[in-house]
Amino acid sequence: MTSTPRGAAVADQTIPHRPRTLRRSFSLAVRTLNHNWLTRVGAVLGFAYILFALLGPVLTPDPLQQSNDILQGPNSTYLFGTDQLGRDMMSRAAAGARVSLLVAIASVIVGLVLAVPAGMLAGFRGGTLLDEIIMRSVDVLLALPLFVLGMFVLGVFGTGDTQIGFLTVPAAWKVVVLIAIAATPFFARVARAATLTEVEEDYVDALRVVGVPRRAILSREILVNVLPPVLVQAFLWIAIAIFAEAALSFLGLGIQAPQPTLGNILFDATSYMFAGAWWFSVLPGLVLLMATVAFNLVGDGLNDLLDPRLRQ
Amino acid sequence: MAGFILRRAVGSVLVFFAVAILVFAMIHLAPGDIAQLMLGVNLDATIIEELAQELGLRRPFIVQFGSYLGDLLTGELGESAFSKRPVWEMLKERAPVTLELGLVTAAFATVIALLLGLIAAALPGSFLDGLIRVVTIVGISIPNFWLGLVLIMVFAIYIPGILPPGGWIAFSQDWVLNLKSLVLPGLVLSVGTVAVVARTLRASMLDALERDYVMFARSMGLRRRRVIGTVAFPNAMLPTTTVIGLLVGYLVSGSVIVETVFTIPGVGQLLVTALRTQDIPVAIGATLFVAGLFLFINLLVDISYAVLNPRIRELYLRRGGAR
Repeated sequence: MTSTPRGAAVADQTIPHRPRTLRRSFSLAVRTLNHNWLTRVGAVLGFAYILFALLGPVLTPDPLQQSNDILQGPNSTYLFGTDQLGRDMMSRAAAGARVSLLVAIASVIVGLVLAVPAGMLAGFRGGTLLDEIIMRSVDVLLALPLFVLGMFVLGVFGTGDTQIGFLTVPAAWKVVVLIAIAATPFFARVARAATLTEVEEDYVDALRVVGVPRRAILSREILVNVLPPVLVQAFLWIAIAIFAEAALSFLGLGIQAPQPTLGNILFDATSYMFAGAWWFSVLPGLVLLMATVAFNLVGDGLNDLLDPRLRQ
Repeated sequence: MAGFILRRAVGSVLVFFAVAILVFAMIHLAPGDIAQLMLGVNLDATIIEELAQELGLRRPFIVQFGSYLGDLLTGELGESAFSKRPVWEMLKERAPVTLELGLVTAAFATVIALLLGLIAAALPGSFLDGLIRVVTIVGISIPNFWLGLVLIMVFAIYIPGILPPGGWIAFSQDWVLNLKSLVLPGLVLSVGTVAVVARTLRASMLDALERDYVMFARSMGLRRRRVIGTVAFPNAMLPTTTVIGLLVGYLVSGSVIVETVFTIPGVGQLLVTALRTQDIPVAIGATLFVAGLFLFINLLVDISYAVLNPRIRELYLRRGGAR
């Protein structure tokens, strides 16, 4: 490529690459929402779930408030029924939905922060020793049965808050970090692959020629173009994280009572299954299902629209 | 080829030892005294000290690590903190249950998934295709432990007597009841796997049907059904086998959950109980068993790709390693 004396002009011409990509993905997202009814269903379900998780705890009674109305089925006072201590199941499900959502979003953010810089660095230095080291670590992580190891860590460290040195780690954060670690190989791989294709683009050469430091190219220009595929992965991982948190809490290794979560509510429900308290397990489970279906559908739709083979 | 298998096997053994070291490190990083953790808080200090001595916890760290590795190599896993039974014996008793559940589920799931994927790919855009798409999305999303709870309730309360809603009868004891007690857990365990495999096969079938070799086969006068079965399907199976391999991990972790939900006396249930009660020797043994199983199956899957798929075989040989 021939260099040009007026570097600034080149930079000006290449910078539009950034907004254009974002705007293009955004308009594509809108188009798929309009085109694919499944994605639309997912968006509606996701919106309903987030609304339930955010507003539910405000509008419903205290999820820890006990009453004499023990194990009542759904009725006009208790829309979701009550549990073995007479607590309102709708409040508990809403509080649980909020915890699930927060844990999932936090773990995906932690995972992105850990993995995206590593993956981008590996891609930017593709083929070097650094790339090899990062990607081999990713391979080793993928070769581990992470769910079982996560269970082991939670079991050994105990389920309460953990004191590590002077640092108190709340129980929920242990779950967050473990899920984040499980997500890193996937995020890192996608970030690396996207960076590898971006590095080949002309605008990267142009920016280098005009003397923009590599770090700035990586953090300003390439990052913006790597984010869309990474965010698709992040969306799918919110669904996985919601499931993982619920499963760990269900097994008694995640977040503990009195804090209600969808997982530990379902664990409580196992004791009353045969007593005919169907609402106890069915309704909180449906809330959980709503969340995972929603994020899977939206993530899937985004995936379709970013896959160049399927886009045509 | 033998070189590849050897390299891959050595890699698995190394990862297994990495897991073992990680497990050891976690136990020693965990705050508090393990002996105290195992016995509960309000116990006499001398009893705690006694257990600590018995477990060798008062020896220097490096000595403990050495003896841990030595024990592992000789298959010595200690005994349960509560029942005092050897961990090895407990694992041997429960392993067949977990293996039977896993194998039957894997076989069942693969057959159903391939059928669904083929139907969806043969009739793209049809009502059936749409239905399969919706069912697979729900299948991927549905939390397996919740599905288990709902099925248990349905078969215990609402339509009792058809299938046992939990528990386990050994095959040697009564094979009909054994198979019946496999149905619900196997169904729950396979739902997610079936969904993912069916979707992957559909996508790679549609991809393969666009390729030149399919058009060539069609232009030679082969009927569409024939082309789907004999030309597109083998090619679409390559990406699909990769996904089946990836799902092994899902089966292993899923069986831990499913065994707990359906009270099946397998290794997974043993692990969960040990972790809940802080029975550390059993927890270590069960974790290493599950991890070892996971690594072993992944090794088999990798070797079988290399044997079955000439393209991957060549790739491995050229690169000199698995990527």
